[in-house]
Amino acid sequence: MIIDVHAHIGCDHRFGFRLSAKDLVAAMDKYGITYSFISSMKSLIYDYREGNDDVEEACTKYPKRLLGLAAIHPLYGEEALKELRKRLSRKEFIGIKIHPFYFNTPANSPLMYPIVEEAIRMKAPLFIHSYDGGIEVSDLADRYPDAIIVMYHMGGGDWEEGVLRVKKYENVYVEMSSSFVDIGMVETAVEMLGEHRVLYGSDIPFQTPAISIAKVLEANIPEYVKELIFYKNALNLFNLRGEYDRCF
Amino acid sequence: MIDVSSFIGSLPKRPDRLSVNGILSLAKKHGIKYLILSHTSAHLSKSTFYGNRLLQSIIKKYTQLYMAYVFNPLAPEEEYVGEKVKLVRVSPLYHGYSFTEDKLVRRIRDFAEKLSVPIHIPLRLHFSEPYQVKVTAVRDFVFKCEDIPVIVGGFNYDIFLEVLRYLGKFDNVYFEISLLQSYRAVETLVKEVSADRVLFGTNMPFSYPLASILKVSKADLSEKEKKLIFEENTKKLLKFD
Repeated sequence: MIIDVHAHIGCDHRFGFRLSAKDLVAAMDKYGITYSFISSMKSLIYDYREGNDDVEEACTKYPKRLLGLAAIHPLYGEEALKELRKRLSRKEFIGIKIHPFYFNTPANSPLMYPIVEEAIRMKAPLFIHSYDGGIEVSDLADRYPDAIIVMYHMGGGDWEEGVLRVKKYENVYVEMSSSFVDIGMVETAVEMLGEHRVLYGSDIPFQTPAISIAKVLEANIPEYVKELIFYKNALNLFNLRGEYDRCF
Repeated sequence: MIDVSSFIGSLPKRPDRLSVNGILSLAKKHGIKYLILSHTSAHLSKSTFYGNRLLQSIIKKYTQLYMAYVFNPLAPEEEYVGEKVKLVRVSPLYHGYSFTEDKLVRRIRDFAEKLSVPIHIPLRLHFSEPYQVKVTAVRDFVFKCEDIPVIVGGFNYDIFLEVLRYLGKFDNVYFEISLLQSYRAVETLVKEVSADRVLFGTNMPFSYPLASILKVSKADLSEKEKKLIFEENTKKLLKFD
């Protein structure tokens, strides 16, 4: 049983990626992934609202497999806030996707503040791409201790720094995907943050789900902690227990 | 399984997290029969002497380990390279040369021919390292070495399409998958160049081998194709009995 808190649909022509919702569900079946949290690559590299339309359509089509993350672009100001409210009021969406690199706005920029404040008000978690060793995310978490933040990629290549930087912020959880399959990644995260703050994510199609699965399976941690990482932490953190009780 | 791309030693941004015994233990756990290793210090230093010699002293002790000799065409050639050498690896970025220099490419080619082993170009040693050469430079290198097998590895999705377009057409080029992480990339590689030219590698000690194992074992490929990738191609190419 696995919950993947980091997946994509859509196309990224730079790398020849094309992944429809149907293809994604087929991949999930292959790797034993029950639920995936998805955003659209279209939101990241073309138009964030059109990408959200695609996510909504996919989650409507596969309501028991896909949960939507609404991509919210900080440079669009009030329009972005309206988009946030609109999407998060719908059952297809579970959180907010922020990509500082593609949105050309640091995660700790003042332009992000209204989005984070609205997320706190709506009790919506923020899923933030982080490849800077956790610098921006830790700064944001310091300012907003009530925000629930999932730091994607554990901070990237400098994942040890990333984990260390967010250690003291109990409202920050880390997701492990990236091309790095370094020995000891997951052990370090569990040791520094505790077993409840580490989540499985694949970043499909940039990574095959096998990469993060291998990181967890090879980690020198107890089996029950692997279960926490693979799905139980996500179930608890995102209040999925009632509606998604097929996990039990 | 035969791992055609692993190392001993550390990298500037990656400490050495596994001892030789740690590597062997993971290899045994997953059924990896042989590993072809080079020493990272031979890649990173212009003088390859220390790293190659140190590795020689290690692999002599273990039947599972074989050597990838790191060759610097700018340095004087050693008379004796050691035993169990299965590959010549090159490290143009750290050794400070480019594949546009015909004389140096000839030296690499002649050296590999003398040892009767393929040339392995790891485009990078790990994700924390920069790419050493452009794919077009590798193409130019291969043009000058069409009579010798060349293994290209260390690439990920960011240059995968380039690798396919520029190098896929050369029958003497083989593709090693340790750093190729994207979804269905192994299937794409097999479709484009055939399973005969895809080789299994792990990037130990920097990466868990299970990732590469799952990339192949979970791929939509026939059992025969998986066997070719895991073992048979390398066995044939590197003349394992």
